[in-house]
Amino acid sequence: MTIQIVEAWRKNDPKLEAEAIAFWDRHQINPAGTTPQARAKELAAVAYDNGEVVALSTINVELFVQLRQKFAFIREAVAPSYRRNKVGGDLLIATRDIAERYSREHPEEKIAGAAAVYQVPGVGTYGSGRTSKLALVGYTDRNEQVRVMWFDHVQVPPNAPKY
Amino acid sequence: MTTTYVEAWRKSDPKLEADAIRAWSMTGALPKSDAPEIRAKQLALVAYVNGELAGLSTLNVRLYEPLRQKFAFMRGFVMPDYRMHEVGRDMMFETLQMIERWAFENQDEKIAGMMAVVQIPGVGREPTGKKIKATLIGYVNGNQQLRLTWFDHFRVPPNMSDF
Repeated sequence: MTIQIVEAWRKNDPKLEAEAIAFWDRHQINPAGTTPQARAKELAAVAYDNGEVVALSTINVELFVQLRQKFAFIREAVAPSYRRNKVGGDLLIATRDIAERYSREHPEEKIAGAAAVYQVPGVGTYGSGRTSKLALVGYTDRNEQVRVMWFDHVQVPPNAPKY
Repeated sequence: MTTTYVEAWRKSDPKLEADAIRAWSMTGALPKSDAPEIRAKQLALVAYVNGELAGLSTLNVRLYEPLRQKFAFMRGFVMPDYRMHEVGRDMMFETLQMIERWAFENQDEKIAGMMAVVQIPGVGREPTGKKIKATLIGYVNGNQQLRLTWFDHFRVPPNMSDF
């Protein structure tokens, strides 16, 4: 198994977007609260095994009220037959790095870090992830871990506005 | 300037406690609602410079509901003459080292990490400290940063039920 991860963030690549929509359709994954076409615009990275899409990630930049900054919220979908290996973890790290590089190159967007909600039971054993560096900072109403990693280049304003 | 850190955590050392009470009393550092004799029981480290008390830290272990674990909440106090030096930052680092080691050796107490509230305006521009690795996880009392360092040895239970 040789996994290849291809960057898609803000590339508007019609081929990658079409592959993502086909992947969601094939695995009956319906993006919540949006259409596949709209979600495809948030595509961050696509993981292939021998030319076949086996996982993908999206990024939605939004204000994280608890931290008073905008974060890149990462979502992942992994094909069922690949959920027992480390594709999901590798994709998360690749996506986090994509978001960090983008944030550094686009300081005007003020993206302070990467965030993820861990929806897979049993994932997230360490308070601060060994490789992902995502630290547990809270739980959702559905008992899912909320994790963040602040980007190294970000400085917190002395009086962060309260939202 | 050579600073010596003396470990006081759970030692009930009368001399260290008396030194701490004297320092609080001389500076009026404790609020009236806080009895010095009780706070002295939370003493973690005392910092001396050339035999003179330069600062001290206390720890209060309690449940932090948003993260569903017990944490050691650290408070630091630096004598006025030493506030322009790095006694405060170094003391936080030394306190973290000490309590992480203690929590590892006393895992039945299930202390997941150390927390601190940054009360000095302008301190804490880096959202994850370079030396102490304390991550900004929220705000309290208006605009004071809440910082957390998860302990390396601690494992987050897989299914945390709601409190």
